[in-house]
Amino acid sequence: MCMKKTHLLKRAPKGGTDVPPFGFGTRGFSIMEIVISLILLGIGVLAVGQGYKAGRVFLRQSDNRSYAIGVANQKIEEYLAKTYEALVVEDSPFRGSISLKDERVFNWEVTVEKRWEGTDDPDTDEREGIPYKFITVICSYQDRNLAGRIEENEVRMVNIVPYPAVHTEMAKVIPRNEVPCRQTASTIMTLPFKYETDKNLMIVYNITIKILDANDIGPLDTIFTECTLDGGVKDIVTRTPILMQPLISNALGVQNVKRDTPHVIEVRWYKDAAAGNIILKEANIVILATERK
Amino acid sequence: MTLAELIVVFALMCILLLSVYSVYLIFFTSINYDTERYLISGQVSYALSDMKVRCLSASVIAGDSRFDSEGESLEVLNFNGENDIYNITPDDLSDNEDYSYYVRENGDLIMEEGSGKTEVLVEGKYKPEVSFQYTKGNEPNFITVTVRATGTKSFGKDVPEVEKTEGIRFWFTDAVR
Repeated sequence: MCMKKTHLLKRAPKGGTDVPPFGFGTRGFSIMEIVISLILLGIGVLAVGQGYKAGRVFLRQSDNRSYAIGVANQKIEEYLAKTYEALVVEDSPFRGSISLKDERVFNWEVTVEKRWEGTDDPDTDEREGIPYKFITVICSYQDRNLAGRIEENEVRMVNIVPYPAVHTEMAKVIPRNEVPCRQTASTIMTLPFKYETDKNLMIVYNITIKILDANDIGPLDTIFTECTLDGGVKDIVTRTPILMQPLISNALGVQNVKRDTPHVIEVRWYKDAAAGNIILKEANIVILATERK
Repeated sequence: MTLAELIVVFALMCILLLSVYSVYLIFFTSINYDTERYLISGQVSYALSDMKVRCLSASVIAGDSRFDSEGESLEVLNFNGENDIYNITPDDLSDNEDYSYYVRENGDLIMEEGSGKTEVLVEGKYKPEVSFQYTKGNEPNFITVTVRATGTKSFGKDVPEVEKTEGIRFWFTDAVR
């Protein structure tokens, strides 16, 4: 029995021209199929290429931003390491730039302003609160966007350095010439200061004496020392027997020393006896100023 | 096939091969370049973060790691700091450890503890360089550290290079002689 072969497509009859259009369905690839396939492939590649290009742009933008953040972070740390007094508002703004090998340039600017706590509060008088230095760091750089246009970008960081809650001051006197103790009050040492907030003070002073001539000095003969703030006399005066103690120490507290006003601490001494030649050997004074609550 | 068809097909195949090669060149090479660059960037950032966190609680800086007050740059930093960086006890030195940051002979940027334990911060194949600087005028407890590294995979003439700088503040000691 002869099996008739079945063809999927009609074979073209002998001498006939009944052939499927564009060669589709015949064995192998025709040139049109190849061309159309290449066109479609090209469109796909172009689409992927655009996505790749956008990805590279975003990567570069991310890289630039990351570097700018690093620069700003470094600058803010540098200025946070400075003391309150070292942050001089008048010298601000500080500027600089960093150029990289691939010609990228990052410009930085640091601005220091003085502000007061509570300034924005309408119920608070301006500059009554605790002062602080407000540090602003801006790092700017240029970058291209997806469209190829150059844009100016920046990274901004802020931080504060508050006014110290505790201050210490110290003065020391080692006289080159003799400083005798007389019967009238004379100044041994002074210590000027000025704070930006109201403070309570703890004042400690020490005086070492040298007795050059102890003739006729009685056991009850006394050296008096007094410590004054801005010329006002405290009602506490130390009394030290001359012969018993070569070292005089005293500590006293002063409350509510006003802000923004120059003050002077003065230590004076005198003796109640005409006899004896007593000179100052060494003196020092220490102030511990704490923030008044 | 006719001769013209053969020529056209040959040309089209050449174009196809060139396209495939370009795809390989641009996509894969570029991706490798970018991947390595961000790997390097990650290692450099990790190194800087480690230095910053450990130096913050440093109690003592070794004499050979102290800086000249006129400004100086060093390649090694030795100091004594907290064993546990999250438990800072400046008054108690018994829980401290000696630390060193430097580039060793095989090129690795490492953090070495006094006990001999080391941690590789940036791999030697990236040729890391570290520089600790003090600039005159800065506070004595503030230095900057710069870490540079160069990659191995190139894209055209470009070789991935990463350089980052971080400011380091010491809370309990000064860095200046």
